Amino acid sequence: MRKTTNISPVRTLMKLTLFSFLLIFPASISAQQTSLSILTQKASELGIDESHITRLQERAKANGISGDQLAEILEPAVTLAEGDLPFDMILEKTSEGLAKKVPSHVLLNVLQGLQEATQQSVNIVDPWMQKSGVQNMLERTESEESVQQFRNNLLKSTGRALNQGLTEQSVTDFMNELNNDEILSKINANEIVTSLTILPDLPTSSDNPELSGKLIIQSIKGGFKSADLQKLPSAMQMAQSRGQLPVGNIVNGIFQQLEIGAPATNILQGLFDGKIGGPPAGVPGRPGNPIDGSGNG
Amino acid sequence: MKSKVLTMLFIAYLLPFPALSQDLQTSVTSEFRVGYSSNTYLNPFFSEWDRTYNSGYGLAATFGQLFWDKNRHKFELNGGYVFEPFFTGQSTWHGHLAYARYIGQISSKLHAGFNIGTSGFQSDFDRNLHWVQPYITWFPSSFTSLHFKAGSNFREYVGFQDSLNINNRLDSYALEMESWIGFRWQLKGGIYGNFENLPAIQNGISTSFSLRHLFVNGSRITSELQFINYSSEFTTTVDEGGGPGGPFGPPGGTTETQSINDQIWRIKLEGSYPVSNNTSAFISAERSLYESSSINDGIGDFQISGGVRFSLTPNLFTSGKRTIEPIWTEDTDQYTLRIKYRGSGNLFLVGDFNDWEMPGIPLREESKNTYKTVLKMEPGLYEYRILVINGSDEKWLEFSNNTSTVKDGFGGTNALKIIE
Repeated sequence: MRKTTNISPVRTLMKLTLFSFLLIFPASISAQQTSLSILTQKASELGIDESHITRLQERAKANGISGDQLAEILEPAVTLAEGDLPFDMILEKTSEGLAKKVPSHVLLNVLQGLQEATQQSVNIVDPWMQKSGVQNMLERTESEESVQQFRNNLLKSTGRALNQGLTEQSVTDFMNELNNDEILSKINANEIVTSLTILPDLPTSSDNPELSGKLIIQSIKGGFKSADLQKLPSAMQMAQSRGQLPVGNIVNGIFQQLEIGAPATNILQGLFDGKIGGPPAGVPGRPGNPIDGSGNG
Repeated sequence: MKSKVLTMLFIAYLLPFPALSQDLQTSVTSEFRVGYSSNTYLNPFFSEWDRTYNSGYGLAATFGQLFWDKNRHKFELNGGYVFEPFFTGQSTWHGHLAYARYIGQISSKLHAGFNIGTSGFQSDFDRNLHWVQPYITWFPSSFTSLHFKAGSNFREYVGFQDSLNINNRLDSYALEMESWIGFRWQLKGGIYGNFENLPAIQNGISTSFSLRHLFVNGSRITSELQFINYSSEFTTTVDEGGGPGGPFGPPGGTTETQSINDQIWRIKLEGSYPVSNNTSAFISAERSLYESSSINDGIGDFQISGGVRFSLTPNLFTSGKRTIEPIWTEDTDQYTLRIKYRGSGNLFLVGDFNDWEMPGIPLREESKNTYKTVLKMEPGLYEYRILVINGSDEKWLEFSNNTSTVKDGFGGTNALKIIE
């Protein structure tokens, strides 16, 4: 009797738990499906390609991501689409994150950050594109269709820069520096996008984005084209690694070379070889070349 | 023999660290030169005062460098061989040079480390040098460095000036400075001395100052003016006081104790022209004037030479982490991506090109170790990675330092391709 009395509340509790599961679990599955299907429908209405969503759904499922989590992941793209803002970058980043098997909470954080940065970037890009110098440059070099593409690329690059920690003010200042007759006469839309793309990747950008901006501006003035600009971040990182010098030395070295008219290819090669920035090879702190023409062994 | 053992020890030190290979870089430089000099003091790698070698000469030298860099630590190992024949029949000057250097970055303005090395050269006499020098470098500004080093040099001369054998140890110190004025002007100075002379530094001290001017515009022209002063009291041993340019003594040598003040002026002009990314041609001319309190007239010498230098940066240590360097070429409306890859598995291009769909666009083997794919691409920015699939293993390949990359936001990097 004592035994029965003791077990009975446990059994009752188990029955209640099972009953609760039966009630809640199907509802949970149903809720997930609902939130995802509502979002998918909304996305489709806003112009997001339905087949793209389906592809993401399949990849998410393969990665073990639930429908609920996927709905959360897609939310930033839908929010941007609602604001008539480019959302491709969010979808691309989602695809990339899924391909790289990034955990869903990390992916969600990155996408939410990108969404906020893209929304912020509109406040920078749209007023900038209305400036007369920029308008003249676009009329000269771009078709109407490519102007829209240019805006999207600018929003993408600006959003990326903001998402990597640059402030709205520093990006705005940089773009205002670009709005200069001398600069705009030398570059096209692609080079502007490239400039913004590399801005957060320069080793100076975390501490001194203003210096990074000046460096890009001077590089453009010195004849750097899009392909040269693309190599600048990795070349500077290489110079920093080889020389173990403060990055300010490297920037100063580039400024000086630009000042005396050294070609972009020479400057980049010098950076990759660790020969630009402060004292040259062969002195303390630098990887000395045993054969440096000094004549001494 | 000692020097060979030391060299092997350095190499042995590096070999057990395959995990370091991802941060290990290599470079190889070769130089071929012909020239004429009136004094071997001006000859590359010779730097011994001998005016009887008034001769045309050749030079072939190859040096390799291993360079490891991680966070605040840098280690480099340099070694090479020099072969310097003379056209008028004197014995060839040949031998090796090897040194290792460690640099620790205490702060952005303060570095500390050590230099340990050995060299052994043979000709009419043998010269072996071994040294170990801890040092500290301070960067008071972006363009100025102050460098203090102190350590021991072990010198061995066998059969010097026909019969003299010298075996000594010098405990020396040096304080050097270098400053760049507007990039084009480089000012260097140094004070060198031996501890045994302290506190009477006038008994063995040398100073050196040089001013270089660079003209850079594709080609490079360097002019250099150097003034070296040796103040010393010495007896029979050849003693240059730890200064630059290797052991130096007055012509003829002496066994008496003397106080001597030697001064050397050197002016040098060198021009180099980049023939290709890895090759440059150069010419060099140098004039020197030696004056001493022990002689009445100054002694003038000259050196003129020209040649080519080759530099390569092979990826020799890639077993730990293979790196690849994508090469893009454009042909009308399509783009070809080529990658050199030595390893097993199938390569795939994954990125904005294909919405990061796995496994991606396959790269076909075009020739041995070269893979390619051809794409039609609209103007825009494309981020991508290369995936290698080997059975059930999937691995993202790392890009070389020469590749344009951007941060991917997830803590890694993507390669970047911009289509205009």
